[in-house]
Amino acid sequence: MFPIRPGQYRHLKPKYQKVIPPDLTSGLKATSDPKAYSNARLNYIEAGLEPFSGELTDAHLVHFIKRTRFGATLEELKRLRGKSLNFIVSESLASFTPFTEPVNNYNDVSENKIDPEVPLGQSFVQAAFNRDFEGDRIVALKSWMIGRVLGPNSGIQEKMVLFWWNFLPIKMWDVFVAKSCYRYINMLHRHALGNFKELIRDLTLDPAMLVFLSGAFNNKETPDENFARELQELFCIGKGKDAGYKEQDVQAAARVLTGWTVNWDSIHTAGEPQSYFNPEMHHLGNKQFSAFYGNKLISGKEGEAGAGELDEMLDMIFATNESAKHIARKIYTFFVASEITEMAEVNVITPLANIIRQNNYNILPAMTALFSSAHFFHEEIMGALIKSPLDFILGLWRNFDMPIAESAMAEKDFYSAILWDMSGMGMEVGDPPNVAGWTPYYQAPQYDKIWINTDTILKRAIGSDSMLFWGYWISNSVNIEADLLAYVKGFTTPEDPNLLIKEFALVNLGLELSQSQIDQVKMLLLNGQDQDYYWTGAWLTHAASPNDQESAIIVTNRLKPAFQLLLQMGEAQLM
Amino acid sequence: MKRRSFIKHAAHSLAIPSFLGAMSNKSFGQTLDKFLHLANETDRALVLIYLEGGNDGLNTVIPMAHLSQLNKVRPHVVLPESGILPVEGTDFGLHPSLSGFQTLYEEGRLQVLHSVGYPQQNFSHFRSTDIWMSGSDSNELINSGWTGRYLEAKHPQFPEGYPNGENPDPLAVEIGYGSSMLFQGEKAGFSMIINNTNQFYQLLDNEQEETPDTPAGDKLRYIRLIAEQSQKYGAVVRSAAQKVPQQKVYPNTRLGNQLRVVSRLIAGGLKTPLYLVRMGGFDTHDNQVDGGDHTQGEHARLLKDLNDAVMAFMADQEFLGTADRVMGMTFSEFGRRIVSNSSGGTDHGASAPLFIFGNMSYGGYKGNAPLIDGSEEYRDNISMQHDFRQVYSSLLTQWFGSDASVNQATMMGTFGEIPVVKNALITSIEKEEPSNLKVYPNPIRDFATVKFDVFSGNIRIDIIDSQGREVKKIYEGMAQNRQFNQNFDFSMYPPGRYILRVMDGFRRSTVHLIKL
Repeated sequence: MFPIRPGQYRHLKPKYQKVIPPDLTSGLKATSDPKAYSNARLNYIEAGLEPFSGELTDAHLVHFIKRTRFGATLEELKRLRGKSLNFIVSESLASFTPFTEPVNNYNDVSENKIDPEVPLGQSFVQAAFNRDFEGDRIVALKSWMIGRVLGPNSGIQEKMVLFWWNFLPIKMWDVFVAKSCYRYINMLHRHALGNFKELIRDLTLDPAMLVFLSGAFNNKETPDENFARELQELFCIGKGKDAGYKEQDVQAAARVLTGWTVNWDSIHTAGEPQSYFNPEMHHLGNKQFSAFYGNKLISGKEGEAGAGELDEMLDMIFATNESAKHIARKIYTFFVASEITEMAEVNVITPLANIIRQNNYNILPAMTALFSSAHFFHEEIMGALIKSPLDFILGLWRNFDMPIAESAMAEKDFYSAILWDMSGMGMEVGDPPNVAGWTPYYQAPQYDKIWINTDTILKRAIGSDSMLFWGYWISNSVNIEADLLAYVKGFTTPEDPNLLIKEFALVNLGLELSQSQIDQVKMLLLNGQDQDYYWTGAWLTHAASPNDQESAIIVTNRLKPAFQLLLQMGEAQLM
Repeated sequence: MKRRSFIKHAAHSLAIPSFLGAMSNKSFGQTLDKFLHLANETDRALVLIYLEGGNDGLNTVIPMAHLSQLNKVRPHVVLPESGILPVEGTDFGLHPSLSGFQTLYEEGRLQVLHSVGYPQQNFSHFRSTDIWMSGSDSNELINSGWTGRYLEAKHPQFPEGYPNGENPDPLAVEIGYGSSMLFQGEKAGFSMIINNTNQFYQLLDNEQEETPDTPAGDKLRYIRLIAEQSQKYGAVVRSAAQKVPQQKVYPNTRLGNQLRVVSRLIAGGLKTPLYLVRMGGFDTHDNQVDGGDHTQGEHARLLKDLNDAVMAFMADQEFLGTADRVMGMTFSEFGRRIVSNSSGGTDHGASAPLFIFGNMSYGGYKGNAPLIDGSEEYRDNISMQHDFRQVYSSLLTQWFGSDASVNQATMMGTFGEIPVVKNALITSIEKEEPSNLKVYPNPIRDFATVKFDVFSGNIRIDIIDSQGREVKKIYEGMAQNRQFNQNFDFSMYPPGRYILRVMDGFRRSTVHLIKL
């Protein structure tokens, strides 16, 4: 059956992609001095991977939650209070919950759109390829991913999937086979805190990746070096100063990988997508690698034995010092700070890489050490990342405990509005702009500042305003607002305007507010009065008779502009 | 005050949920320059001054005929007769701090509206503020502001396609903390918010505020810079302000600084019709006056700030040539109790006087100074003579030329008008003629007396409901005396608002009734 090439159905994308993510790099100015924007202060952080030994305050706890999830909720904060850091980290990193499969929630009788392969409400992850429905399935899949983050079982695994996706990406629109994309997600999820080497092996044979980086079309007759190059340049070795692989290594690796391809029958018929090794397409010659790999020679093997060359090559790659350092750097720039200083290279990256190597590329011990480290909890590390659109929007959604889709059937309509809003902010779930991931995670010298431009910052403000004021647009008939009364009831002391503001800032803003900022917000809660008791009275009146509309509205009318002001502060973009 | 929030709510006024393609800032940036032209000279502005906390009306506009009664019921705060500024030809005087207002009144540039309020006074700051901002009934819960609805009726598409050639400027500007309810429409907010006056000057000077010298501070500085640049109306506001190199001196007070900014924006050609400024501290439960000298103390300082800021504003507008197209209005969520506290203050009250000022002000006064008989108890309040929505409605019609349908949408009902603007065409049904028409008590429980000076003698009296329908003719005939004075039974009318209309030959006068 016919193969599907990367981007083959790109022309169909405009039918489904409601908002094209803006090119965040278009306005960036090149700077002659790459150090010009870099943050010199990071250089002074001496703390390394040694365990954090300070007092674990609420600020530390929300920092941990925000970096390992999307935003932080008061509920999550409460659960962590009073527990030891060891317990918190090991528990959080162990909390993996299975998810249910995405379903056909895209049939639309009014448009005569009825998926012939998948009954309404049934899973489509085994359905045969159907070019007329893959677009709908992909949007359903993207919405489903948002549902996983907002749903009750959300945990670190969702953040890890984003981490891996950004690190080892496919673009769903280029792959265009929804069930392959799902299989890829499942693979990331399976290895989320597992073994990096095994993940790379599975990635190499992944039907979605075989399409995205055209590995499926790499054979002895028409070599394609695409995946072999990224395997080294982006995935396993990187571009660090000691990354000495050569062009020769790219060619040799491509030859090792010849013969691995997608089983196209598995795509065009029902069932899980499969890949396999086709010995007839395998390059039989010897593969000579450079000095960087110790002049390793992988001898060409005939027949099924040719498949074994892959493991020989992966052993060779992971035997270098760079592999562990490379993943350590990727973890660091995603979870800790956007830039790696020389000090951090020595005090964090090197020991982190050692742990990874000592554990044979199991990353859990390294992640545990990192999230328990003095460096991770350094006061100048906390709050110093700019939120991605997912961190900002999904974080607020979770924080406000906004309603979520009632069923899998409702997910697509419900979450696709959020999907396209975040797209407009530069981050379309499942489709990074290129194989290097989303630009703000790697592009020197601006890094995460790239998320913020005059267009996206307004869209972010509109997003938060909508949740507070007008209702977040879901469809022409559905707008969703935060239930601020229920939300504030979850605060420790909602009747105290100072503590109310501080607690809100703690979970939603990246920095502590100054007294003058607090006073300004308080003026909104106090209606311009000087005495705190005006708010206290209003809140307690409402709390005493929650069904009384008038007292409820009095409180709501003050919470809305107060929270609006807080979320429009620059600090709300930090985490 | 070194920090600031960002965006200043351009975003908030943009906040309509939609797919956001239509709001690309790029195209906006390119076309912005051509919007930067001078406003039409006739563009009118209304500046609302919110006195936060509930201003003591009885010590602001003092009923001179009842000074001895006042001495009896509010001994802890009452002003000495010698200190009160007389207002010739009236039955009231002004607080000694309001010497500027006295002059404005004499020049016919300030109007005193007595006892403005609403039926069924709510004594909560919060709730009463919401009522004043929303223009709702006391028991009606509305989440939009009256000016917000006015702007929404005039600009139903906002913010889609705004700013544009016809409306290059913010539709409303407010200075203070965050967005008030006043400029919230049903589905969008209309104001550009300048959180404080420092922020305004930072906007002018492209200044950056201090941020901590940390990695997070570095990011914060960048975010604020971008936020500044994303401010949709930042460029027009900056451009307007830069056209005004010189202004008259203002007192360095919160209100003075705010009005200075507003005056500058108006003179710079901003076409913005509505401004809200604020001044706090009127919640004078205690120490409202100095024990030794009641003309001094907290309330005297507040009114002096108000007086001086408004006088500077008026002088500045004369200097800048904008005085004929700007009107101002003070309001507060309520007045204060008639009976004073032994702590030298007053508690939350009901109706209170309201000032409208400007070269185009109608001048004079409406209504009567409140009657104090000396037997008032703590719970007694000053009864309402003017519904606050009459004031709003009159300003919309007479100042902005707003038509009946816009008015209806804004006020969510019809309220009788009172003349507030010089030479304005008053279009509503009740063409007012002075006749000393009085109905008391009002609000009415069962019976009330109707009293007025007779002109022609051919009298007809009707009760009209809030929809403008004639409910009942209660009198028709020839008057026997120079003064009409008769008691009527109102017990059969359902509670609500009514208008009592007297036709005396070709003269027509009306009074608003509240039936309890």
